[in-house]
Amino acid sequence: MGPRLKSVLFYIGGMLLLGFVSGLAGGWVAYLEASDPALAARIAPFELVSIAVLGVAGMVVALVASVRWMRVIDEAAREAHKSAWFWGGSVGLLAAMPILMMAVLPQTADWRLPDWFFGRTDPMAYAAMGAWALISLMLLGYGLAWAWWWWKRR
Amino acid sequence: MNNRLKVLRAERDWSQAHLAELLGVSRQTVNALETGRYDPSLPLAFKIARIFDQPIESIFSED
Repeated sequence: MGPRLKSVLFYIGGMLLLGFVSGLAGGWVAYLEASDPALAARIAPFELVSIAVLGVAGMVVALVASVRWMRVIDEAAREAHKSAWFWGGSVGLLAAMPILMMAVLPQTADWRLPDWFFGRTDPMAYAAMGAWALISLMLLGYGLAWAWWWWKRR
Repeated sequence: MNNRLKVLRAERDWSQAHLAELLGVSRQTVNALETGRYDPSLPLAFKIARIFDQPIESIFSED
């Protein structure tokens, strides 16, 4: 195993460890909050900041791992990812266009959407749901386009 | 583009995996090259020519 691949695995391992430790910490904080509601109110602002910091840290590590990964793989594999990102991502976004167009029409104002985030129906939750739906479509398109690229060249 | 990669490899009795190792690419890339469904970059084409000790034009040709 080359040194570059080792460094990619190091960063992925780091991300997994960070996620695991974050999960443990989150569970411990949830237990404390459940046993002391007054404490929950006091630490709520710090929770949000901590989650934001962990999210940014995870994103940075994921980006570094991705850059190193793209440098480790050979040119054909790089082309596959580039092609998949362009075609899969674009088609995924295009697939969302009809839904987005309908969403701004007054006829859909009464549509009842499922709640994805623990029964929340506030605007922030719906915005997050829309963002996740777009990301999911792009990721699905990416996966299909990537598989298609290699299948065509098998 | 067309290429004689498979023929040249067979003449030396090399497996795709062995050629992939020599070129520093994956076996899937070698397969894609041989089937003519993937054209190599210039550096890779030069590397292929160097490994087989032949000019690029004798290995790769236009459709």
